[in-house]
Amino acid sequence: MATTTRKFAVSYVMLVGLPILGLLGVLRQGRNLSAPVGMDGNWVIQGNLDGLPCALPDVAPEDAVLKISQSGQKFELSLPNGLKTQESGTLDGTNLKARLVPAFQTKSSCDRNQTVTLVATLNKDVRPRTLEGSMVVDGCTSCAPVPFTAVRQKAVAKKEAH
Amino acid sequence: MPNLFTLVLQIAVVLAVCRAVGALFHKIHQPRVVGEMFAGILLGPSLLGWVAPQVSAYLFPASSLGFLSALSQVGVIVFMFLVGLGINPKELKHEGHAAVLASHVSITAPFMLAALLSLYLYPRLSDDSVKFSHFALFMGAAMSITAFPVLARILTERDLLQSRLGTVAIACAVVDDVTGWCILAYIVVLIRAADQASSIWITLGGILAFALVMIYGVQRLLQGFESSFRKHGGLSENMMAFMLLLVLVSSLCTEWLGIHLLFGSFLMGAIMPKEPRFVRYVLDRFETFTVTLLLPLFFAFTGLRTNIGLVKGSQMWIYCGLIIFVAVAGKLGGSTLAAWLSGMPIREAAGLGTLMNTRGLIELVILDIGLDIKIISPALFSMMVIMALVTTFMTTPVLELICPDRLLRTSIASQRDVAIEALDLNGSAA
Repeated sequence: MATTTRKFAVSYVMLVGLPILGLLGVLRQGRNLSAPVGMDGNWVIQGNLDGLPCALPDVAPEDAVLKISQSGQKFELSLPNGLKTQESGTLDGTNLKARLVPAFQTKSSCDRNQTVTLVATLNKDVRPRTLEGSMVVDGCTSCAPVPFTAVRQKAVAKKEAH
Repeated sequence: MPNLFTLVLQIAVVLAVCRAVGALFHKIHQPRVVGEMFAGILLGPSLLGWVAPQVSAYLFPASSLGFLSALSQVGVIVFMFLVGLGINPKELKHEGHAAVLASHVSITAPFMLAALLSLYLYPRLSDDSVKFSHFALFMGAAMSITAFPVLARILTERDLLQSRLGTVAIACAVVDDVTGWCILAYIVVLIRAADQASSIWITLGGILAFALVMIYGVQRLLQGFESSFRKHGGLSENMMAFMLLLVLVSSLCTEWLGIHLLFGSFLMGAIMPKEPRFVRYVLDRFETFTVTLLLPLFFAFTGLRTNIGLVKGSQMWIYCGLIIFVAVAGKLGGSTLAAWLSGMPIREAAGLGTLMNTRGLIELVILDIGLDIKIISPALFSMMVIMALVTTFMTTPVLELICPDRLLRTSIASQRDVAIEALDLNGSAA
């Protein structure tokens, strides 16, 4: 075998063969990893909407959707009345917390400087997944936390089958 | 029904901003496409939506984005056909060890490093609806891709297409693109099959059968286009319409088979006749409209989905830095090492590595698919878009630094001398 060909063969094994073996090892190792619980998508808020902070009483029940865009343990959340996360919300296990502010073009009854804190727990053992929690207007001593329940919409819930 | 006023206004604004920023980037010796990619980001929530939310909400209301998306996807379908058309597998046959090793390493090295990085990123930027293997394979495919069209444009602008560096780079990019798209197709099939009742083997069998029919059946029929071109010196409007129809049918087939529209258009381009004058003729007919009007819409749509604001805090920027580092180390480092070990001078090898590190528009197309099938999160999507911008932007200045024009000219001249000497020797022997 010529020196050039031998050098090529050795280089090929080192630079192509070994990384492929390494990739297989990584894929095997990664099986044991766990990622944060998935909650990305639309969640339909159940029950009466009138009582929610900064509520929009004329939202039709099918439009009462809480939208979550998730990136690992951080998420962006928005409500149909224009409230949305100012800073990313955080997910700790199955507990999520977010501070919401009225966005531009808000239809909410809250004023611009008002913030709402949302805390909820995700139930991952039911299909579709559900969120149970409460919202409260920050700094409002007379306002009681308003409980809510939201159910994940089916189209997104299909991915949970993985 | 779309609001036509809003849609036309959007197209006008996107076109104006993309042309302006593209021209600005051209002035600083960057390919225009880099400026247009950047313009898309400027029009999205990262800048316009942040500094002028009222203007952003008026220009790009959420209800109008579906139409903008559909138009931009039509543009990408035609663009992927043109990318496939530009790829000529015969270019690989003339290349030696350097091209074989460099092309394979420029896939395996970034792929392996991306998979390794996935071990760190998966628990931090993904969620349990995505399998680790899918996440790692997608990251690998996304990091190992090379923007064949941008690379070809840079080589043309620097008059390097016929140099050794140019031919090896083109050959490597062909291998990278074809391999990258095959891996991506496999990942899309895996993910979509998980949501369907039918077996993955039926899907894979269908795709394989389709590819075989295209390569061994349809490809022969396509020679008719080239024959007609040779006979008449061009193609009639009916022939061009028929060609476009074939692209659309092929796209629909791959979508129906469970991969993606874009694979069909890419494959149709790849099996088209490769006679250079025919390829140039078809490119000229489709390119202007696609590149000047439809692709900027795709950049704008991608920009609207990119929110650099999601990359918040030092931790997120560290993730982003790691992604850029791994992308550059794998692609630039891997290709350089492989080319150097194959006997290329170190500067030329580093030039090849730099060219292979160009990800450009192809990367955005892949990332869009990843976000659509929810294999990457919005924050990771934004980080990967930043990586695509950085790696594409750095190509020209780094190439100029490593391989200045004067050095390459000398190299090309010496290669020509060697070729002439060889011809002389052959002539004497004859």
